[in-house]
Amino acid sequence: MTTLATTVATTRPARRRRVLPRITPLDILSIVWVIVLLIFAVVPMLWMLSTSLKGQFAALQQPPEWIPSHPTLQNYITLLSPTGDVGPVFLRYFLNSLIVSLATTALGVLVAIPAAYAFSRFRFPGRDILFFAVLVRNMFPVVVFLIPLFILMRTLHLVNTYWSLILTYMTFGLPLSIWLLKGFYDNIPEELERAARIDGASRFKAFWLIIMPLSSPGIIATAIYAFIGAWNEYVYALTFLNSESLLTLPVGLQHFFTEFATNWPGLMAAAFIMSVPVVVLFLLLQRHFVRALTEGAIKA
Amino acid sequence: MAEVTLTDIVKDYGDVRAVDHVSMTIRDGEFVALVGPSGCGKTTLLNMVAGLIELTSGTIAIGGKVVNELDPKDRDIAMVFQNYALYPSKSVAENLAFPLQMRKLPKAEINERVQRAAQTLGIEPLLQRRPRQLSGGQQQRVALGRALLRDPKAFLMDEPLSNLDAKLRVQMRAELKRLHQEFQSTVIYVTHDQMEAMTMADRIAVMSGGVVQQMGPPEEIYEHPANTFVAGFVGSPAMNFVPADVSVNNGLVMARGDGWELPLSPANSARAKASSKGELILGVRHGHVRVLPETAPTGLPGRLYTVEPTGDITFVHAKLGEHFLVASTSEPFRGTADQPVRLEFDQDHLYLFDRTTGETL
Amino acid sequence: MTVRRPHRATLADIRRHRTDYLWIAPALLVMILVIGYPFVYTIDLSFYDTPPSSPNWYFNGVDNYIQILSDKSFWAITLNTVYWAVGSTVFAFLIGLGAALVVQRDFIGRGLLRGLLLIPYVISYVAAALIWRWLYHSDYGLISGTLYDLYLIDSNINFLDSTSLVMPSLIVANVWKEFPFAMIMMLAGLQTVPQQLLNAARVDGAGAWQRFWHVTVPYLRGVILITTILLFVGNLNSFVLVWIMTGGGPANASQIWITQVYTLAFQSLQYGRASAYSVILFIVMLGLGFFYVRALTGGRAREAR
Repeated sequence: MTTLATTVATTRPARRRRVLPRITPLDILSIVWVIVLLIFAVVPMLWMLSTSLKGQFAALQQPPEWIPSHPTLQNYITLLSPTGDVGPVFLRYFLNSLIVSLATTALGVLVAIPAAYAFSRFRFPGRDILFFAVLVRNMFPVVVFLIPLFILMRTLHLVNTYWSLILTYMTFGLPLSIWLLKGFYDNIPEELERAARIDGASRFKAFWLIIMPLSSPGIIATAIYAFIGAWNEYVYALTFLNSESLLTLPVGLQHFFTEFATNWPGLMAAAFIMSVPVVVLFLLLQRHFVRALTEGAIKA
Repeated sequence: MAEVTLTDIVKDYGDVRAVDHVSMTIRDGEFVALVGPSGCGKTTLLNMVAGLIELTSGTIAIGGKVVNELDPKDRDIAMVFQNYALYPSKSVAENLAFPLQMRKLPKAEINERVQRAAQTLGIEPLLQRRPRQLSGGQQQRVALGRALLRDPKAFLMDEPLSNLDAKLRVQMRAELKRLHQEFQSTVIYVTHDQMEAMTMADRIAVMSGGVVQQMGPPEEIYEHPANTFVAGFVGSPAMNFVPADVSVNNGLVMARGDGWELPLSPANSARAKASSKGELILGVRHGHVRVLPETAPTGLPGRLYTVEPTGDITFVHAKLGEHFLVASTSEPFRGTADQPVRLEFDQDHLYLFDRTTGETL
Repeated sequence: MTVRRPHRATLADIRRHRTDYLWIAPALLVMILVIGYPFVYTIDLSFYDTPPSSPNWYFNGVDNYIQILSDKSFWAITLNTVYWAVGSTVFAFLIGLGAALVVQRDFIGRGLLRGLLLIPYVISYVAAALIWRWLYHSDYGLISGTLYDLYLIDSNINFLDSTSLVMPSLIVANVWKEFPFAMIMMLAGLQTVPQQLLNAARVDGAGAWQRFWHVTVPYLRGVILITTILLFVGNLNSFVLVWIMTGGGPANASQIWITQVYTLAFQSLQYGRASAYSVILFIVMLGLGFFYVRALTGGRAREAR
């Protein structure tokens, strides 16, 4: 009995059975659901694209044309050409958005990193309360602060400047950024810094040389989130900026709407251009973003 | 309780074959342990018997009925997991009741059965608690209770004791064995701990690389291993292995190693001659190696490496050429590192393995 | 996490940790400036009468509050807001959950599918508002046109100009924008459910739906709670979509709290009254959040004892 035990199946003769994967009704339901979801999510965007490639007349067709019969890039050319009356204005909006978003991202990340690190590693009095206060910020209605902030900005002579936006945008991203980064830092074992400090590094050096590189996914995710938030923001930009030359894209787009209310193809083209940087950025770094959002949130 | 029959089971994951043509019959009321290192395929095999993973090919029959196409719940089996897998949002009583609820039994009967199971396992006072409020041992008992309640044809256990601390493990081992004897249940038990398998099982199947290397009662696996893998896997400290070549000198068969020669007994000589290419691996357990002083008349020349006294037994580590050996003795032993010694093997308990195939000669 | 003994902070402690505060100082400073100060200021301002015609502001105690609460339109707007917030949250959550359930299984093109489903979340609310306004267009909109082509209706529907259809239309657009967030949150949550637990349920006889209901959902209570709270609060705060699509119309049929506050403050220039409105809003949100959290974790806190 030292060899492999042989077997005799009792009722059926032993035979090779290939097990086929079964397709259940659940699978069919899933496929239908996915198709519905995709249609729901993607069609509006496709329609925007389709409209943007039509001429004024073609867009106002009944029944609506799914694929433009005479596609044209005229709308895009108008928006992006540095000459003419629309182009320069639109490009100006684009530039403003870019400046404000980049500045917000840079400063926001710069401020959030040490704060998140402190919340993660240090135990100082008031730590929990402050952290909670940072989180609660999200509970405040956006519009609540408009009035006092407007008056504040007026006092500081910051109305109608980039800074009014940069400062306020930073606070939108800060709570989530600090929360995300803190989650990342929590996951890095403290032993690493201790080893570095025993090796002679100061607390700050240990942080800068060892921890920072390790948390780069978190920093990237935070930066993306901050950038997207700043790029898309409308209300504060609307309230704080008056002069045409300073408007950011969202407000600019709204201005276009009131001005060229029936030029839907043009509006759709503008919306498309405005969405491109964000969508591209996002699709490229999707994984980081998803990971950061969920890792931070689930830890709560 | 019923018999479980596995016929020519194969499981492939893409190019990787996790289970390679495994067949066995687990008799009604038998406790069979599947042992092997991680990755040997034992858990995969168990999951296929449970119906949690699909087979690539082969047949599984429980109680004479082929169950390949059946869902786990229709196979009439119960499973105990390594991490207990108790539903955290339910109380102990609700955990126990769950399988019965799924079978749509009347409430009164469910309550009665739960009470009885709780009594058997001594967990009555815990019925209203949540799993996270219980200790590891208590959680394991609840998991067992849930399995018992299903009154299944067979119990499948996936390393149920691995998460317990050493003392508790010994205790639970005894309890499991007692329960098995009391209920005469068919049990398939997966573990990487060969000692658990040795103490609890009626038969052991040693697996490696998706293949059953040997299957038989514990004594047989221990005393008559089929190949070097089984020999080296069972028993702790592991069996000593030393490569040697067969040489015949004036009709005397010898095992020759690096700087030493061992004349073989008649029985061993016959076996040695059956080797292919005359290349051997000698195997001998620590209890059958004697470490003698340098001046002894018999034994192979070696050097002392280190001595480990553990109370009743002392383990003596020595080197034979470049190979390390472990010997054990119940008498006090003294020596210094690198001291030359003589190593004697008990030829009645010497194993010869073919170096090429690894099989016992 | 190490167990922390409750510990009264002393002055000595604060002094000892003074360098720590340096790390959070910049963040704290900005927050105090941009949030703390306005918050206090708003509360203060809510007690003033700020007639748009004169530069003077008169203290009038709780008059603003009384005026607001006794105004009949306040309650209509409140109803609208509840409709808006609850409707959007429920559907965004359910659709997000459904999407997560699909995307969690591994298949070819999963990354692409997930990316596509996330696009609505990433574009700006302004762009979204315009796109949907175009979709809902009474004469040339895609939705109306397609339904007409399919012979489901015989004349164009006016989505955004009808007092009965405007809220559902807005909610659909909002859900379109928000559901990816719920999808991501639930996706992460679903991945934390231990496979062994689901296996045990399978062996115990639970089918797919039963496994979902008895194992997955209870396990994910925390994530579900956070997701729905974030969605709900976000919806109460959600200004841009409604403002650009309808401005609160037609005839205040889609006026919600937040658009009303904006109208009061920046169109009627009634800063005082708008501030009072904001404070009421804030108190309600805080209260709701508190009771909601308590209701769903109260049971758990009790049994941990």
